[in-house]
Amino acid sequence: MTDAPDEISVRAIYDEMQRIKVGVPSSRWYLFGSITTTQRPVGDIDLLVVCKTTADCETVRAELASICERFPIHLLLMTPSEEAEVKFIQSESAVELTP
Amino acid sequence: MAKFTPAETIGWVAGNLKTADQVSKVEMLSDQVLRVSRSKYDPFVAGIVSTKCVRYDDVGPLVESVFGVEIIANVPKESYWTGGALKLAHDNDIATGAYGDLLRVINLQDVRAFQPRETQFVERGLRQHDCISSFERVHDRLYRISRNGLPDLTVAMLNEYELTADRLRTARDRYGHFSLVVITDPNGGATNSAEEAAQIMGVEILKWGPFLGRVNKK
Repeated sequence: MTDAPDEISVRAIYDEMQRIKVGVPSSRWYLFGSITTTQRPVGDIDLLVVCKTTADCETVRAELASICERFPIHLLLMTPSEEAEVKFIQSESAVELTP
Repeated sequence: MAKFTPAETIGWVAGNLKTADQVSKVEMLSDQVLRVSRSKYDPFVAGIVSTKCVRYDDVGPLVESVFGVEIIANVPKESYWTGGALKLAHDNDIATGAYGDLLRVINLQDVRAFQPRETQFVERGLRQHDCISSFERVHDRLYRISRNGLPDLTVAMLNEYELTADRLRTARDRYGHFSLVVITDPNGGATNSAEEAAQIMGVEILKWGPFLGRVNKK
């Protein structure tokens, strides 16, 4: 780990995931887009969170509000049925963040 | 999540800009203003804001800044600009955009003339439509469209690859009432859940081409 800007933001997202997963344990977190490649600098940080219910989506969005003000995070929240419908994880080669 | 300071945010932006190929130096002139030196063109001055909603009062100090701000960028993606903030910047010949737009203007000689590609595309399409007499950019993605002999339309232009129910609800929270959502990403679509949410809201979701046809109808 370094103090490179992209690493600072990913580390902050990781910390937020660990905090929020306590309240929404079934949520699954993924990075996709340029942050998962070697392209630098990145124009934004694409984050997908798959939540079991619409209510969980709303909770995660609210909990992420502060970090979304700090970094240019493109936040995508989907229920499992929405993700299955568009196969987003597969089509975007999204990389799961694991606790 | 600890509260962050403007200095931390501008430090993060400066750190990223320094890694861009055509950038030779990034100076922090204040806790909201950067000067970016480029190898190809003269330096440009950027004002940085970091807020969920960019209002007139956020833009005012940057417009009046002694450093001669040429572009104002708002860092959060999950955010929007009010019409008043956009107008204030525009009236003072200052470009507006997101953090990613700072990377785009590095290779642009006249930074003040910058306009996001999507905005150019949308507004050119509206200007060239025979049935549209005028339009007003109420907020960054919300347009009020006046038509010849037909009622006005209030339209949210969302640049989504996958328009989800959550994104639609977020747009409603931000912009209030609108009767149409247009997906401006040419490869974009809406999930079934988004369509269901739209039905409950009484909103139509259209892609760009069908929207141009819809403008001709009541």
